[in-house]
Amino acid sequence: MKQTKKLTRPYSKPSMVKLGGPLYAKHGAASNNSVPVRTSISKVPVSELAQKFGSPLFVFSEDAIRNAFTNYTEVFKRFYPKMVFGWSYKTNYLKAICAIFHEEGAIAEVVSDFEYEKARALGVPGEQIIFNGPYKPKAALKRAIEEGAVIHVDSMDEIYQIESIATEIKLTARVGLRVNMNTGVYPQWSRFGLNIESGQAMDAARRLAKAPGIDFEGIHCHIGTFMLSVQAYEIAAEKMANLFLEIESDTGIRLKYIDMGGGFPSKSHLKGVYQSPEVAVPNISEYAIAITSCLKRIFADSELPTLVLEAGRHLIDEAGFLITSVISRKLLPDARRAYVLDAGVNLLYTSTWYRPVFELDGDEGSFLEPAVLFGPLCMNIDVVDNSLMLPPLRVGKRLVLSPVGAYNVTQWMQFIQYRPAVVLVRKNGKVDLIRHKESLEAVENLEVLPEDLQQKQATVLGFKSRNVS
Amino acid sequence: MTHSRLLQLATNDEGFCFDPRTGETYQLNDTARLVLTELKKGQSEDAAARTLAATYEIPLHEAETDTQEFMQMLRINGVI
Ligand SMILES: Cc1ncc(COP(=O)(O)O)c(C=O)c1O
Repeated sequence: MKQTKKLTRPYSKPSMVKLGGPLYAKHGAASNNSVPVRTSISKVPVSELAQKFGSPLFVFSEDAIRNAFTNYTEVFKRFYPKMVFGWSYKTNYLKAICAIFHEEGAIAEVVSDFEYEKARALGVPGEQIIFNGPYKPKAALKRAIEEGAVIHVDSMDEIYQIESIATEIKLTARVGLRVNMNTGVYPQWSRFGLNIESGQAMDAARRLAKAPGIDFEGIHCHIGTFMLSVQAYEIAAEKMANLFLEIESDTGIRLKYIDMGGGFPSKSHLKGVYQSPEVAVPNISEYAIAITSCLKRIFADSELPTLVLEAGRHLIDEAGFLITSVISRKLLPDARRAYVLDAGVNLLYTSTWYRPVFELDGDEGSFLEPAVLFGPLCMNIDVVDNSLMLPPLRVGKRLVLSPVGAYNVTQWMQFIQYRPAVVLVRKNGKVDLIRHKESLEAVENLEVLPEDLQQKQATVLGFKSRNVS
Repeated sequence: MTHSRLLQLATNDEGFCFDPRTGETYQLNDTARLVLTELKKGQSEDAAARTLAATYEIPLHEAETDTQEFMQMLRINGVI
C-alpha cells in the first residue's frame, strides 16, 4: 500500500461550489462564511445531553426562563404600578415549565377545559386562573365559577350560558369581556370576542353589567401573535381604555382591570421578514412604554385599572433548543447536499412560519455548500429547511436548533415517530428529565382492540423470512 | 474522456478551480482537491477513495460514497 501522509485536520466530505452562481450571489463568498457553533446549552455540553438522553432531544434552560420572566416583568413594573402577569399555557404547558412561571409569580391563562384541569392539577388556585377561549364546555364553566376563576367571555351565547349556570348553582361568576378591534395590523383577529367598532362590545358590556349571577370585572383583548408593531399596542390600549370609561359612564360599573393579552415577539426569525430578529424585533420596553403611557394618559384623573398581560412566546421561545442528528445524507439531482435528520416537522410545528437558527455542535470549517434538511418522516412534506449553506456534514453530526421553546412542545405530533424526551437544565447545572420519550405503550394507551380482532394473522404464502421458522 | 477533461481543469492551492471548456469557476474544499489530484494522476475512483480514507483515517465505505458523490457533483455541474 502506498504511504500516505497522516493529517490532523478533521475530515470533511469532498465538495465543490460554483462561484458566481445564484447561491453564491445570495450568500456571499462560499468560503468566507461559517455556520454558528454551539457546544453547550446552559453550560451543559450538547454531546453529554445527547449521549445521556438520546437524539432528538428538546432542552430547556431554567435560567433562560427565569431571566426572561424577570426582565419582562421588571420592565412593565417600572412603568406601571398595578400589574398582573399570566402565563399562556398553550405556548408550552409542560408541568415543569408552568411550575417555574408560577413560582416566579405568574397566574395561569388557559384556553380549554384540558388546560384548566392542568393548571388546577398543578396546584394553581381557581382564583389565579384566567379562562379564555372560544369553547368552554358547560362542566368546565361550572367548575370555573365554583372555583372563582375569571372567565373571559367570547360570545353573547357564552354570556347567556354563564348566567344560567351561575343562577342554577346560586353562585356569582367572575367575568371579563374579550373584545377585538382594528389596530391597523393585518390580519385583524376579529373572530375572538366582540368587536369594539361595531358596537357589539358595548352591547355585551351592557348585558354583563346587569346579568344575574355575574360580577363584571374587566375587559380583555389579544391583538395577534409575534406582533412587530408597537403602534398596534398603543392603538389597542387607547381603545381599551376608552371602552373601559364608556362602560363606566354607560353602566355605572367601574371595572377592575384591562387585560392586553400577549403577542410580544421572541427573537425568532419570522419567514418573510428580511431583517434579522435583532433588527426587526422591538425591545420589550417599547411595548411597555406604548401601553402604559397610553393608560396613564387616559386615566390621568382617576384610579388606574390593573393591567393584566398574558405573554407566551416572548417568555419561553429562546429558552428552548432542539438537538438533532444527521442520520444519512445524499446528493440531490440538482447537486445540492441533502441530509436526513432524526427530527422533522413532526417536532417543529412552528417551522412553517419561523426559521430557527441552525448551529453545529463543533466547528466544521468555513467551506459551505447549499444543503437541504429533511426530517425522518416518510412524507414528502417533511422538510426542515430547503436553502441552507452548511459545511459538508458526516453521519452522526449534531445540530442545535433554536429558538424553539414556544408552541412546539404543545403542537408537535405523534405521527410516524415517537416524540422525544424533554429535559430541563436546572439553575445548578443538573439536568432533569421533564418528559419521557414516548413508548409504544404510552402511545397506544387510549386504544382499544376489540376482542374478536385480537391475535389475527394474515395467511400469506411466499412472503417468508429465512430467519423465522 | 473523463480523465482528459479533468486534466484541462486549472486548480490552485486555495481550491480555486477553472473549467476552460465552460468558463465556469468553482471553489473546492481540501478533500475535493485531494480526490481531484488523485484522479488527474490517472488513479481510479476506487483508488482515490482509498487514498482519501487513509489520509483522513475514515472508514473506506464512507470515503467511497463521498467520492462517488463528488463525481456526481462534477457530472451535474457539467465538468465531466
Ligand atoms: C388569549 C391569548 N392570550 C395569550 C396568548 C399568548 O400569545 P403569545 O404567545 O403571542 O404571547 C394567546 C395566543 O394566541 C392567546 O390566544
